[in-house]
Amino acid sequence: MWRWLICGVLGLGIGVGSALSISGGLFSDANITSGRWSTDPTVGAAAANPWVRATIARVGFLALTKEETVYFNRDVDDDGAKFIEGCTYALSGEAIPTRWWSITIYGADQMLPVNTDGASSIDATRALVAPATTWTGTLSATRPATPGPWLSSKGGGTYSLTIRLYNPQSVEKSALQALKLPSIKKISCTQTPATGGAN
Amino acid sequence: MAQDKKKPGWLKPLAFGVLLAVLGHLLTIGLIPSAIMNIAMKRIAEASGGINRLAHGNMVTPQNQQIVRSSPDLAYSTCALDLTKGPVRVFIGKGADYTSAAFYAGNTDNVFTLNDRKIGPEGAHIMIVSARSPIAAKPGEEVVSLPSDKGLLLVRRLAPTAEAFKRVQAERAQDFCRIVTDGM
Repeated sequence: MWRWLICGVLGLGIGVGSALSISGGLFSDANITSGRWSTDPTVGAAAANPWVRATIARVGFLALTKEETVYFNRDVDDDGAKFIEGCTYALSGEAIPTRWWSITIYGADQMLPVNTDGASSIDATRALVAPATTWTGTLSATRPATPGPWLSSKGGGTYSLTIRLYNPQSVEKSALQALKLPSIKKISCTQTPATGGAN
Repeated sequence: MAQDKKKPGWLKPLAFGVLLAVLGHLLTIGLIPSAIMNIAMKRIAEASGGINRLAHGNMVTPQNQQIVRSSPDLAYSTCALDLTKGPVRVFIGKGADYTSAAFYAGNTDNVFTLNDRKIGPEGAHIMIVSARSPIAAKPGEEVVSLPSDKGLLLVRRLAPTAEAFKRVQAERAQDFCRIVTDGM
């Protein structure tokens, strides 16, 4: 009897666990990359099979189709190191062939990091004021001394960034790969980076 | 030999475990979208005072965020759709900037999106029907057919600043989402 119990519990655990792992994006098909940014073309689409649908429900819930909005994500700086709350990064970007764009920070739980900085996002209307064609900003846990666009990572732990491109000129794979999306370079880190996690 | 046959082995319990693993995997994968959608619909219905009612959200902040991956640059309006008692009528006013109305089925599929480039100065009149609802659209109404009786409407309006949000509040004041009561 105990053999049946052990195998049954293990089997059920493996089945449910594998479903949660897969739907959590473990094997997500993020096969379009532009620099360190990547996007999954299935996000926002009517799902083709139950696994894709479950993944979209968990990691791209209520997303728009790519014709409406393309979502690029990244959780590493330009050198490939994971973003850390205790580090300060320099952001730089230029005009993108899309109607409007915004960059938002999300914690590991896909929620905005809980802080009162009022700096959870940077958008084109604030970062790229005409006639400017380039912009620079800061990603850090404390407000930078210099004015300019700022993304606050306070409370973010190990976080990720999403750039939304609304009504992009083209959603062809080659066009998305050719986009010059913002670069993010590490400037400095505190000796003991905060790892408080995301809320 | 006869004693070997009576000795319980691992083969059948292992096969049972594999069977449960497959069933558990498929069941979980199948239930995830509807479970997540049900939670979202419940929260939205609570926020708007019921189903088939449009609720206008405040500016998104870390303190009031309701769902994952919301954008602080957008003003959201939501309506939990239930078509079991008939079609639902929606009106979305023309905005000065980016506006979209996205319709999601009960399995989370985004089945239709209308943005401001396709919304005339008079706004957009939309009739939402389910696969088993009679079509009851008025002339000029866009018909959106959901593959399920339950679903969600999510309206996004660009509002990256407090000033823009104030403007959007006026723009969406006339928006509505309500069950059809006139029989048409």
